[in-house]
Amino acid sequence: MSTAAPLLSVQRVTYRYPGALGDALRDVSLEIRAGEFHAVLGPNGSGKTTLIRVALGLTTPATGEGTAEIAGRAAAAWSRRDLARIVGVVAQREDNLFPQQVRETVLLGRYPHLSLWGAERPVDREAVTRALERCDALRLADRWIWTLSGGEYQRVRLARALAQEPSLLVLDEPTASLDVRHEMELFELARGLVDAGEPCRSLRGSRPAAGRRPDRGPGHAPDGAHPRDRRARLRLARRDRALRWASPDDSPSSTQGARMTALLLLLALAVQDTVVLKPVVVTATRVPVPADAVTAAVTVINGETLRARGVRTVAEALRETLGASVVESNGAGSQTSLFLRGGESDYVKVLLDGVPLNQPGGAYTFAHLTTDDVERIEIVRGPVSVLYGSDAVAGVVQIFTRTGLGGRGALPRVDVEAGAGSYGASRFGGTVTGGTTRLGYSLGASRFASDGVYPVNNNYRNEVVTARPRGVRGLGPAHHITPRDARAPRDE
Amino acid sequence: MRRWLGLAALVALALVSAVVLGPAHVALGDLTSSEIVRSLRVPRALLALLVGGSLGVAGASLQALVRNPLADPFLLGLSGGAGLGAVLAIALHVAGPWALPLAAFVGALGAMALVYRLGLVGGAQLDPRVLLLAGVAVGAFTGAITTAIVSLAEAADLRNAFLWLWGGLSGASWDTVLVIAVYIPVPLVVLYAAARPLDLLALGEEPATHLGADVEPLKRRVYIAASMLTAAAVAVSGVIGFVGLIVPHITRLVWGHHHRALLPAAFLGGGALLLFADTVARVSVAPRELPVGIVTALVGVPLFAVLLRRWMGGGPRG
Amino acid sequence: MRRLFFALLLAVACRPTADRPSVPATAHRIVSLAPSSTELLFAIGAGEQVVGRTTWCRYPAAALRVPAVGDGLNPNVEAIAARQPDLVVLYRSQMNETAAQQLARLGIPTVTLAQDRLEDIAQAARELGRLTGHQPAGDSIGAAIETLLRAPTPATIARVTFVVWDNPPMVIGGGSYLDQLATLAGASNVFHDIAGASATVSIETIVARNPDVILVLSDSTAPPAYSARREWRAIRAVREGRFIMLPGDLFGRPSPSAPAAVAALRHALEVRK
Repeated sequence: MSTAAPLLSVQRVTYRYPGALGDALRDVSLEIRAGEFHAVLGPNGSGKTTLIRVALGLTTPATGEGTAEIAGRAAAAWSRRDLARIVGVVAQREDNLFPQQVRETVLLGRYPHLSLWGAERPVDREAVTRALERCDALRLADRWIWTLSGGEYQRVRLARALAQEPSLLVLDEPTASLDVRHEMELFELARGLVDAGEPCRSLRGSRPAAGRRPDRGPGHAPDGAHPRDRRARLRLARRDRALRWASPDDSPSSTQGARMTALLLLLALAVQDTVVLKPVVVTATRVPVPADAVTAAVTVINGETLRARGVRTVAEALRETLGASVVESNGAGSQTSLFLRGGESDYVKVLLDGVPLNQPGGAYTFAHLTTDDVERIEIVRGPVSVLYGSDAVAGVVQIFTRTGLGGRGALPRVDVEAGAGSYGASRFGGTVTGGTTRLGYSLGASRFASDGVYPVNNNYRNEVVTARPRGVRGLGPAHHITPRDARAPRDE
Repeated sequence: MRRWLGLAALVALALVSAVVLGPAHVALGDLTSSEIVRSLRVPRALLALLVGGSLGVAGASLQALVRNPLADPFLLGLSGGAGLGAVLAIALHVAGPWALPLAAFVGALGAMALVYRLGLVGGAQLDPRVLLLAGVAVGAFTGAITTAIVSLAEAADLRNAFLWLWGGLSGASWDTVLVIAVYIPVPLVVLYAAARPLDLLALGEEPATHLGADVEPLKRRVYIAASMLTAAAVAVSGVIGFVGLIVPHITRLVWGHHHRALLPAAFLGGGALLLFADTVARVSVAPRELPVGIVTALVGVPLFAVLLRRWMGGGPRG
Repeated sequence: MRRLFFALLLAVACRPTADRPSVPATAHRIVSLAPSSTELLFAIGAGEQVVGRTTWCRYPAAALRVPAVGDGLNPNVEAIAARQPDLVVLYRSQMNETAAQQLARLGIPTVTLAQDRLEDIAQAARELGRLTGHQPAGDSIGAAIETLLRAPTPATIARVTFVVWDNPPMVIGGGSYLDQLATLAGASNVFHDIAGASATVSIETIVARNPDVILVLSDSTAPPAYSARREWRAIRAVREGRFIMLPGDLFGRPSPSAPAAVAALRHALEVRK
């Protein structure tokens, strides 16, 4: 077997069905060499059968959209018959309308080896028997296929593919409609076939053809080879010099017999593409730890949820937290303090991306802290002074700003919002988030204004600009800067 | 082997009875010298064999092609096209003894081309289901046009055109036999060469491709060859229904779905059936003659039922 | 609700059929729906009273001036009614029964006449004579035909067959008026044993019965197209070109000119001999 070219090679193929809205395959590559057992897994409609069709030259992608080769030659250049001698496919669906016996059905698999006018030869019938044996279906040989169960019929179809004596066997969802036991049996059978590397030669001791003197000796063909086989072999050899495939003529001593050595399985497996990650908490231990592994009393609030609900300030968000009490002294823009578990507001440490915001003495007003560009808020209730110092006796609130690390080619995401409300309240804001896997950025700006409940001296304006560029190199250190500018000018 | 001998004996018997029996009494001793036998019965028997055989093979191939056991060569609109051609030939007073068959042949081919074109509607691939539907549609369409022409036209002759379409072998002569004998070998050979791929086609188009059949060219070849056979049959003998439908089924009961054996068997079986039917048509109500299409139905159905009962015991279903 | 429905159904079914309107003593506006009756009407001198004919009624030439009301096989009741006839002459057939009923509902009287054989024509001539006020003419035509029929059958001078269509071969049998004309002319129809008016036969039957002459209904003198075909040439008469063309005006349908037709045929047969 020539090891130069892989049995099946699909390189960077993109294929779209005519009239379809999207690509069925995009930039797909696959290589199968002798002795390999491949499996392609994917949910329904993911393009597995399309891959096989393209790989075998049944459909051709547009020029420039990849190549498909079998044994070193373009798949579309193979004639169907020659290809069927090398690749055996058990397709996903088959309806056999006309009643047949099992042996007849399996005999159809010998078609690629039969000449146009010749009849079936003993070597073909032997191949059928062998194939049925390998698939443990010999006892079914004389049954009518409409009397078989699903598993038995599947085995018969596999036997037919084996009767082709291919070098590569492709099974497209062979276990659909099989129960678990039959499924396992089929997989074991398939594996066994690959491991055994079943050669496709005629058995020794076939009947001599009339009128031909038998050739004996090493390196010669065994007796009784059908005269047409010789012609078939010569034809192939002339066409394909790089590769020599065995015909039933080859002597047993030849090491270049074509063996069924490679197997490709296509299985429908629904891989979930949406996974909900468990929240990871940083604040409790200063290291990322999954939330359910943290022993402290931690609450994590998702910034996306807050914004979706229209919660404008962190203070409003904190109001809903267990154990937190937020006191706003005099309407929007006035002193807003947080009391965690009844502890003093001076003893709640507020961090923004790891940077403490409290003034000396621990005081902090939440009045102007908006939820713009906030990714999440972690609240640890109770003393965490060991980690954060003496001003974290009542608890710690850490706010994480959003960062835009994305995949290759990800487009920046832009959010814009506008709103208005009673008492002349209005709000405009926008954020832009984007980045690559290495560098992310997030910019936000917003403006909130309100006339307040009272007619005099009660208006409030809050303008916020935030940014957060963040650079990461692999698993190395991440660098970031978080400028955040919140102003609350008062006009008289 | 026994089956083939039986079939050959059947064909021989059919040929002999077609030559020996007839509405005009010809003594056995005079058979070889009788003008009736030489000029009429022998060519008619041969034509029945060739036409019946062609219809049988065309029917078997088409049933495999469209994967529908109810397909009949005349389902593909050819009879409508032939009728329209014939009626036009009469209406336009085209002269010549061969005018009618030639016009019918051309009409049938036209219908075939139209159905083929419609069958390609879904793209470059010939879809057998669309073929069937297109055939029915074209048949109905041409039939409607034919009826319209006949009912609007003034010539009394036109009404008789329908009589021709009902089918019969009365136009048989050595000339006709020669033409048919020269014409049909090519489509027959094409269909026989496609016999093995047709076996594969029964599994479905994609499995057949994986097993090495070149499906698209195969479908085209089979369709065109079968249509050519049917067109020739219609041109010389009108629409003899039922042969193309039932003979493949009868032969399948004995030979299975192996088309390399089925197609020759269908040829011989179709020929034998038509021979017997024609003999019965000529002899049963002498001096009158029954339309042969009726007889093929009356003879074929009980035969089919008998065979079905015998083989249902251990044999294939349906 | 169901009871009401059944009551209605019963009422409709038991409605007495309308009485056929009575035929007038003398009809002045006649629509004739068969070529034989049209020819008869003109022959008895009632041509002026004919206001409608079928497209197949072409004899005599004067009939062509009368407006056509369709082809008559499936009578177009509306077109007929548009001519405001006071009598419609129908050919006796199953389909025309329905037409007669429809016309009756419109108040148009109809008379149905058998017109297949010569004796029917004699009868029809008398009837139409009576209906149109041309009784003497009708009676004389009827008498002429009856005389012809009563005359002793002349000796057979030729064996003939009428071939009306070639694929499939159709011949005239003993039930047709053409067979009667042939017998009266001294020709023996080899297919006289067939009871019906026409039948499909095999060519070999014609060959076996070996007629002397083939009679063809045709207005041209050229031999028919099938005479060139090989299988037809097995018939001796075809090979030898022994055809006699029978023009449509005399032989196309049973007509009052039957005596003339018989004479013409006899003359042609004698010449042929």
